[in-house]
Amino acid sequence: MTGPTRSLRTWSIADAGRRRLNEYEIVTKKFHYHFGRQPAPFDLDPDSPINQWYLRHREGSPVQADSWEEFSDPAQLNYRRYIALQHDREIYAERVVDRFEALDHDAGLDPAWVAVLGRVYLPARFALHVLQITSLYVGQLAPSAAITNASFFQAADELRALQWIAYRAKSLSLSHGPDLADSTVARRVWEQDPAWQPARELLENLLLAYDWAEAFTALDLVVKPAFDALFKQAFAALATANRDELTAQLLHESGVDSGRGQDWTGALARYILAARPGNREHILGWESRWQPRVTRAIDALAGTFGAAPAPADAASVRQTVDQATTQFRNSWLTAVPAT
Amino acid sequence: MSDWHDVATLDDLWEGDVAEVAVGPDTILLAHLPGRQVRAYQGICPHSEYSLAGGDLDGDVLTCTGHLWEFDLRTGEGVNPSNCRLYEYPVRLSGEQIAVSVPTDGRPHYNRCRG
Amino acid sequence: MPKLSRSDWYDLARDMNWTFGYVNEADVFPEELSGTGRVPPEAWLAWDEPYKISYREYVHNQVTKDTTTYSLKNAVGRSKLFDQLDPGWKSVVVAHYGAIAMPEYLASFGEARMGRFGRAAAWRNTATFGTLDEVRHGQIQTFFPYGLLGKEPRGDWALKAFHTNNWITLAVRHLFDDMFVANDALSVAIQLTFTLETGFTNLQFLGMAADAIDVGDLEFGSLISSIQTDEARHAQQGEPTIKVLIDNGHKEYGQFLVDHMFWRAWRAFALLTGLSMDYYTPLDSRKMSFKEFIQDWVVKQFADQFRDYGLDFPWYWDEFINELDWYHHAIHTVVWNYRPSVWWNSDAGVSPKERQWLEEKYPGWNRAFGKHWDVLTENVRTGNLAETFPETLPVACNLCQLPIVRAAGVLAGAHTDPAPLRHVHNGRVYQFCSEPCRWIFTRRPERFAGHKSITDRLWTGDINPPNIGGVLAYMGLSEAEHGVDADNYAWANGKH
Repeated sequence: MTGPTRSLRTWSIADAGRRRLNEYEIVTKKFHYHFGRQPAPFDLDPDSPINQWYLRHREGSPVQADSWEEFSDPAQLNYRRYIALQHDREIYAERVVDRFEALDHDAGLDPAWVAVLGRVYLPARFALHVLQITSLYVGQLAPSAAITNASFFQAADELRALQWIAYRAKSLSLSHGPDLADSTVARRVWEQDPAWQPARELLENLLLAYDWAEAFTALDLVVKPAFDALFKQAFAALATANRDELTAQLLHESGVDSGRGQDWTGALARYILAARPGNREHILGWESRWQPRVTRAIDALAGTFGAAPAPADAASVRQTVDQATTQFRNSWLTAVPAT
Repeated sequence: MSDWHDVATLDDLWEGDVAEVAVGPDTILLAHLPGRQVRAYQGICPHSEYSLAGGDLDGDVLTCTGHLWEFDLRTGEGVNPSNCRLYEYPVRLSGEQIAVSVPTDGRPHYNRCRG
Repeated sequence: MPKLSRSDWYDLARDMNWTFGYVNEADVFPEELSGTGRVPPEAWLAWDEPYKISYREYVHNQVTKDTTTYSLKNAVGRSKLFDQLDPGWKSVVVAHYGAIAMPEYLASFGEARMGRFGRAAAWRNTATFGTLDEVRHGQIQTFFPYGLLGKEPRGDWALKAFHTNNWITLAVRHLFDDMFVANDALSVAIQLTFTLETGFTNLQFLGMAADAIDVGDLEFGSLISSIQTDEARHAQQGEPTIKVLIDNGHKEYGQFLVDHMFWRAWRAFALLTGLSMDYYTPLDSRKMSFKEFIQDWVVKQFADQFRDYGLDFPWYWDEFINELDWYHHAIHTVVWNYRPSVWWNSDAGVSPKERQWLEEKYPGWNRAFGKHWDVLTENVRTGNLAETFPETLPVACNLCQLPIVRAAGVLAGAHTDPAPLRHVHNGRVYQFCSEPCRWIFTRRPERFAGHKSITDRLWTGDINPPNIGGVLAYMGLSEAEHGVDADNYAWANGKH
């Protein structure tokens, strides 16, 4: 039998120098062979549209690093671990829902509070959907598989949050009226309610951020942290104040995903800032371009919190959001000294 | 009394590797943990005598394939179940060479625990 | 369990379609990435995935699948099972990992393309799960060969292959870049999920899994069948897409996309599955020939399906049917002749018994191909191994990137002229193996023209020195990695 004469102990092209690669590294490192490839990333005509798209928005991004492969997701999630983790989290979420359903929780909610849910919480699935598909965009344009995969998992997290809202919409409609489960009603709020318009303007524009690093900055460093704070902290607190502990707990549970999201996006931001001196200016430039729109969006939505039976004033909501986003911003910005 | 035995080199045992070596009647588990830390323990699971070198090492924790008993190889302590620890041999690193000290008392060197 | 079932709330999780008010919808769905512009935006709201799944169900199902597949791998990894496998079968596995692991991962880009640029929220949600699926398939099909590295170092090609310019890599990379990496969302749905996954891979994976179990490769068998269950689910994005296209009067375009990719998929299958089924898989484990397999699964079942949608057979159908008799035999001969240039050990698969089987399954095989193998057998028996290696290189097709084997087509009675087909575009001459390959190129030359085949690279000085040694080095093969005859020529010496 003629066979190979040597055996290999690790990938020949991802040798870590006598260190055994862990499972995450084995299935993540050096997967984006096409990044920076000459004459074009993909084996079609170099001038074909998608080659040009990647050359412009990925290879041609103003944000650059010598080796994107050095960045790792701090949670080191590969598919298998992501799924195992979320399997457990969904079991937890199901138990939360079970517990409140056994108490016939929805029936006891104040109709005035349900109106707030219908105006703020249920239409949020449009916003989450934009975050979901923008994560898929960042994933497909990212320069390394570590970024791609983390971003894809994040997209799935948004779909998870969105589906629980859809579940709640239907569930609430059973005791509080079919409008709550009427798609045209939710769409009308999203398209026409003044409280949602700055958010809608922001999120529609987010879909046009095509430079991958701008999309990452806008989505993961500016827009998502603010929306997550608004819903998963401020609105969750409002739900608790209005005796809607089910909504509060589902939002907190979704907040666990957001925390994991900030771990990797914060780590990537730190990596980017440290990778090249010029990167800071681009990231901060994009941040300052997107921040005013985010502020307007949060302000408009915060104004709706006052309509709850146990209301929260807009200023305190803004403060909650500011505090959370500032803390996150400090975690990546001040960690890397400017040069 | 005990004797030092050269059992492997760092080229044989990469960081993240476990391996089984024999010194006389002793079956020894070698483990190279993150941070150039090499440890040596009894090679056979104290539970039901599976070879520990066939287990899965994740960071510092080794899971035996027999019945999924887990051990912290930084200390030799059982993680699950926690009331069980591995017999540990002293290890010496000189350059690339890994040496293990095995007592010359003629006795077996392993702990046993019941599930 | 929560009281509502999925169907109670599912529609509310896919109703996120709205009219853009602050930006131009065309900018949100640029045609080069979306490809959906032929159909009016509101018509896409009819897009309805046949198979529905929630995130909860997804993670619960997938964790079970992963647990089963990885546990089996761990158990098999500790056994001697892999060592005992037939050498030809090992070649199947090694070829598969190198050619398929990375494309599976890249398919997550195609899914994410649909997940962002698909024109309906339902489609984008379905593609979000598809994205995760393909990350799974890329990772599991690199993790498994990584575990084999100690026993089978060429498992290294699961990660390495796409970093090289190996000729097989060039062929599969060109195909998959065309199909889903550098393709728009609409075309990905029709070309990847409908044409390839529904038409070919579902069937191939079923067949391969059965063969794997038959030869005793439990690890590979369980891996492949686990992947197949995901593919069967997300492949269903093709049907609603083609339906919307046809319902809105664009059957012709749908037909074009199917015709384009059906031929390319056939080429890839002839290479990867044709050789595996008819030459590499041990004779005792062959349940049907590659031709029978394609006839049963692709010709009957898939063709019925696309005719159900009002699509026609591709215009080159007769040529395709005709090729079932000879094309993959010709490619097999080239792969074996140039065995040092591939990362697996090519299994000649032409022992007397195997030849008898080939003649039975492909009447006329002896006349068209047997003579060539007679000469090789004689060379091996008389110790003239050097004579079994060709001195010149075949010419690669500028579309499928595979060697042009029209001369074998002449022997098989399919062609009258062995010369490559030609096309001149902007002053450059392109060569093709077949009319469909030429047709695909000439319909959209700007998509393909700037790419160089391995032959072009040889002629334009990219490969130095321009001889066999230079080519092998260019292809990324170290000497230890050069493929050899899988059976150490036992087939020629009558010892098989």
